[in-house]
Amino acid sequence: MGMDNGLNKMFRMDAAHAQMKTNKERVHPVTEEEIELGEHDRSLSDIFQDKEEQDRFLNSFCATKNKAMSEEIAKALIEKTEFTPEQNKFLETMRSGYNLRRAEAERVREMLDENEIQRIARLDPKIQQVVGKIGAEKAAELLGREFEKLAIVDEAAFRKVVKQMRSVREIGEHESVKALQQSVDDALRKYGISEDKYWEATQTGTTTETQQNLVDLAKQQYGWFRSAIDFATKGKLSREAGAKLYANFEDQRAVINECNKHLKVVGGVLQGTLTPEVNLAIQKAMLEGGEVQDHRVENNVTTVQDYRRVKEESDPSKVATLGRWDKYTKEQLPRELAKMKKHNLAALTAAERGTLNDSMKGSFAKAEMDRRKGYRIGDALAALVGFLLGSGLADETDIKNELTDIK
Amino acid sequence: MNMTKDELLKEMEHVLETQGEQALEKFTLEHFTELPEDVQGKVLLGYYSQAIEKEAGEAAIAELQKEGLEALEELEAIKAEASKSE
Repeated sequence: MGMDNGLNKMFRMDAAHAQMKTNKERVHPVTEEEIELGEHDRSLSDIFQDKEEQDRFLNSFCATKNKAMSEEIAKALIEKTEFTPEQNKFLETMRSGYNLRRAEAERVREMLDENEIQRIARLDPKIQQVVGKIGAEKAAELLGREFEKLAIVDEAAFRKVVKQMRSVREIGEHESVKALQQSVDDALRKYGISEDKYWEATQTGTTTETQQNLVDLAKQQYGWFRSAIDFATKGKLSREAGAKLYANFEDQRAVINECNKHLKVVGGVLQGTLTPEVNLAIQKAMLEGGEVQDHRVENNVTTVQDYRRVKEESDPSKVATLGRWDKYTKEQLPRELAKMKKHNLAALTAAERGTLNDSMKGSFAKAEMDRRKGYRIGDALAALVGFLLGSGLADETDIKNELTDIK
Repeated sequence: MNMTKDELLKEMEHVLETQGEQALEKFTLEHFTELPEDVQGKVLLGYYSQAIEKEAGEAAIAELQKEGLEALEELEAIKAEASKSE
């Protein structure tokens, strides 16, 4: 049996990858080869000297880890004050993670070239249509650029995509799905494996199982399936050693019963692969294995209903914006003053007041933009809806300019 | 003829509101080059993520089926051996 390839290899590689990450080794997220940081081995000074790099590091990478701390550091940079020891420690930790992520993203981006675009376009009609319009080279450029952004702002989504790229690479060319489906169907009939409960659960529209039950069933069967294969290949029984081993058994009937038990388990899983719902549940259990969770962003917009809700909540008219700003300042100003150990605005110097005013307007404008653009990276439809929602705005500065000063 | 950005947005919103998400996607593919580049990139990343997820899933299932079929044959063969010596 082909135990040294495919799934086993895929799972061994996952484990090896996790181990390498634990050891802090720098590995290519897809190929597992060791990588060098190269030009991404940046000091904090390198980062802060480059406006674009600083923005990506502080406002995208660091902000996803600790938004409040990142905002305080941004404020310290504007005011040209020294960082606190805590801020320095945070920045140093972030710097090493950031440099590694930049290097990882670059390596993956190199794989998203014209050839990869053309390969995936053959499998996906929508990508094919895009390539037909802008060409593979341009598509690779746009995809690569967006992928590098994804790596910085959404680690979960980045890890999910690279894990899938790794799976595809490890398993490589697979036999035609249609041909295999037929082979499975034939084999189940040939061996007379047709457990009623499995068939019932795998028939579209006729099963009483809920989707969650199907997922649980798939996960449970999957674990058994692995042990069934181990039983048949790595365990004590094999055709080659069969005769000798059987002679040692007092009751060969026990062997046959054991085989029958495993045949039912393997057959059950194979039956599951023939039906879309269970097939998908098995894929999820196999590929995500509980490790990679579906990453959802609050206010994610993927449907017409979401669109209408967010559009209403983020009405860009000046009156509506000022109404939200008023609410925000009522809630946030006391917190800001408490942080500064002041009782009221009058206790601030003019300079302190100006800085606080600017900082609060900036935070509000950023949150407004995020809400109006509310979409999940990596979802095409959400990107379009985000485009519609964010289209009425030029940038955060426009929002800031609409706001009244704090009072 | 290409639409202006405002015309495109108005039409996209109309399509989404009246015909739903799938129609919006279809419309956008037809007018892909009229979208700003950053939106094109986001849409493309969405398509790629979906395609690679589907491919990885199908590849894993295909491998599972292949190994499953081999396991069935192996188990049947063991049974046959055991039956002979029974």
